[in-house]
Amino acid sequence: MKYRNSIALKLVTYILIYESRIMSESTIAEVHDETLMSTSIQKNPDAWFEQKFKEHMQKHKQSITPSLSIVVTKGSLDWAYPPFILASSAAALGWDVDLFFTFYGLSLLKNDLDLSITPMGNTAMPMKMPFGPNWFQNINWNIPNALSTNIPGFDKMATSLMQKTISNNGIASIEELRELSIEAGVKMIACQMTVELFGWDRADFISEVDDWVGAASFLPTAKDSDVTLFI
Amino acid sequence: MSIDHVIAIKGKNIAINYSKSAKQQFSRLSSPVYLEMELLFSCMVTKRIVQVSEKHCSLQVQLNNSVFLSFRPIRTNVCAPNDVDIYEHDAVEIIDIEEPERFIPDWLYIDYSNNIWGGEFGYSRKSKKF
Repeated sequence: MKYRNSIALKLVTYILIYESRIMSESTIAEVHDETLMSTSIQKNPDAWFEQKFKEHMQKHKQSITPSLSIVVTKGSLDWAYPPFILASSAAALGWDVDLFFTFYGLSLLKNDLDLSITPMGNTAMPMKMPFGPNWFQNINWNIPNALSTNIPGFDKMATSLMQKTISNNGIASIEELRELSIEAGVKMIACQMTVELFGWDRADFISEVDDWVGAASFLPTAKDSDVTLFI
Repeated sequence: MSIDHVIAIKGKNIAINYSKSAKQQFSRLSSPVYLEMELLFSCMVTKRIVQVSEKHCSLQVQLNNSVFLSFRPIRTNVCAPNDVDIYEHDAVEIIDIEEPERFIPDWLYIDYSNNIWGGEFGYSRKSKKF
């Protein structure tokens, strides 16, 4: 019995010695760190603070999800691409995205997208043919406005040529980009005032519209976003 | 046109149609073919179907005995032209995007012409090829 007790006592002693050794080692390390820190503070407090501040800000930045707000004001085929490309790309990167559709931009939320394009006033718009041999496709048809405005159905033709070019290049359609954006969690916010102003009905729009609000309700979201764009 | 095949990637169904030439080519294959649906986020958002090597085939499913299909949404730091192999091109840096399953398409059309695998895929039911 005595023998057993002495073994147990020895074991407890060993454990205590071992633990105290670990504790003392970590305490020594902490004291060493603190000494180093206090030495560097004493040596150059500004540099120490600056470094700590940078480290803290970097950690803070990494922990925040970036956000993007876009005010979408145009409803033509060419102007429909930028907001949806930016929104779907940002969402793909894990950003929080809010799109506020107002005035003609609200057309982009309609059930039936009937978007068109016009060369009128679009001086930078190339007029190229999406079919035929390469040399033919490379010709830029500079058609004068006086002619294009007087030919009935010219805008329809320009729209279908643009759609064909988009499809030939494997570029996602507006309908697809809108669907991608919705899948990716982009918030679609419609301007309530525009709906009333143009005499539209809410039933004309896709069911995925997240909110029907006025500008005053959207502004706080835009204010807090990292990136705010007006398209 | 009726749907030839329905497969699921990460729980999302994709309705597939094959062109006549693609069906014919399937029966002639002696080694596995790896096809990838690529959704490229660059200057524009583009879609394409390309043949890739086995090592690049991610989120993969088997279509038949010799054809494997994968889907990959990619963000590139340059506007990758359509005919560039993004895995081999030095100027393209591939950045995988978050939660790729969110971008899995609804429909797929596989074609084989001029000895090249191709086709189209999409999201909206209205823009379906079949």
